Amino acid sequence: MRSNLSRKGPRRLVALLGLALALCLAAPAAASAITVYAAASLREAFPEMAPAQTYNFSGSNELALQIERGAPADVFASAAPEEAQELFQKGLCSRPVTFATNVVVMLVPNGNPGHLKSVYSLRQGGHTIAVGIPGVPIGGYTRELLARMRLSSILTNNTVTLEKNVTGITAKVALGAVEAGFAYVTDGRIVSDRVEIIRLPRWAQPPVRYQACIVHRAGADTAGAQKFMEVLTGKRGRTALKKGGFGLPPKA
Amino acid sequence: MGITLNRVRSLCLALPVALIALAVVSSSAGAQQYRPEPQGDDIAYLQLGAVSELVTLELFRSAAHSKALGASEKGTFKRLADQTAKGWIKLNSLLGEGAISREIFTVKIPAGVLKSRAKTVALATRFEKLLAGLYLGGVESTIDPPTRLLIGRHLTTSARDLSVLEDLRGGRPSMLAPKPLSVEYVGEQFERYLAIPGS
Repeated sequence: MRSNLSRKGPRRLVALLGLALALCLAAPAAASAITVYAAASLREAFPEMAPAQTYNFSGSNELALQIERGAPADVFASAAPEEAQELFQKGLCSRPVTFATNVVVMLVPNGNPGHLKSVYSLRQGGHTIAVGIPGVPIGGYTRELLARMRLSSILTNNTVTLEKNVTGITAKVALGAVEAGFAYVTDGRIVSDRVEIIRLPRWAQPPVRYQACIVHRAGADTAGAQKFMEVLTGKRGRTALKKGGFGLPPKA
Repeated sequence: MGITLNRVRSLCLALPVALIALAVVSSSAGAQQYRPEPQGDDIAYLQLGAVSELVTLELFRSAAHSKALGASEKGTFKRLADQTAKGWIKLNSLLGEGAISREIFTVKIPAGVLKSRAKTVALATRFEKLLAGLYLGGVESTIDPPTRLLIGRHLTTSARDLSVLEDLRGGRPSMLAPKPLSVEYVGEQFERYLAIPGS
């Protein structure tokens, strides 16, 4: 009996130490939970990279406006540099850091009901397409890309549905409500079971750069935000972003 | 291996394009004092011009160090590279936030091309013909006069570089002006030499 106890003792001790260690590790994570306002296209990659944080995903322009009005964000991650740079210029966030890149693609519902072989098929008109509104990054990038291909006319030749963010575009395509939509390749991958991805030429791609910054406001968790930024630009962040199909900027 | 540039032949080659470019420059003379402000889809010619110039620049730079070429030919490619770099910087500066950088595109010139003098010169000539065709299309289609003038200047440069390359190649002089080419066609031709990092 005595020998039995002495054998169990170290095991219990190891188990207790393990439990204590787990609690120690869990405690700072809970304490540093921050609020991240991020572009809708990051809705899969960010929770996978840092699941303990609170997220608000939407169009970057809308989120920037909310932050300007005092929304309780600690970190802002935008799908285009303009929004983050504007907040920085106004002293509302730290100098933005580029952490990912992306490419614009054309999505069509499974089975391609519009029989669209390429983006040039839209020149003839008569199709239904979903496009981001001009103020939201995906809307701006789409217009830029079409102008570079001399295809701006497809926005007038076809029936266009305007969406406030990229999630709306992918949803419309996935449900078959439109024959095509312009979104990021990463969004196409999220709904790849319901859509087909039609690549657009590399030469016409606008530079899609994601930038993040730490929000300056009274009561912000700056230390927690700093840790999040380190994770985002570190190995864990780059791995999660790459897995989601994002491009990565060169390491700083 | 020294190549003597046949000036008369080069003049013959460049003459038709130079005349077109001259007509553009004189018709846009009033626009000279204004900065290009591309209207509508005008940007297509500047953006694809910048992409194409970048690909061409990479080829010229690589050719300037190619073991398949003689010293004089390498010197010619170095001069062409310097000239192309200037043109590329000018075009790219007009693209603002959309400017092209190596972070967005990487250019891949097939190694096999650079091992052969004939293939290197042929590809360089092909690129320059595509550029001249693109700029000619741009001169015909752009709305903004200062943008048209700028494209006309690039057309002149391309025509001059083309004559140098045709001379290297030993091709027959032609009095025919290059055909205007569509953005779609030129884009497709340069697409195969581009890669997006991380995609």
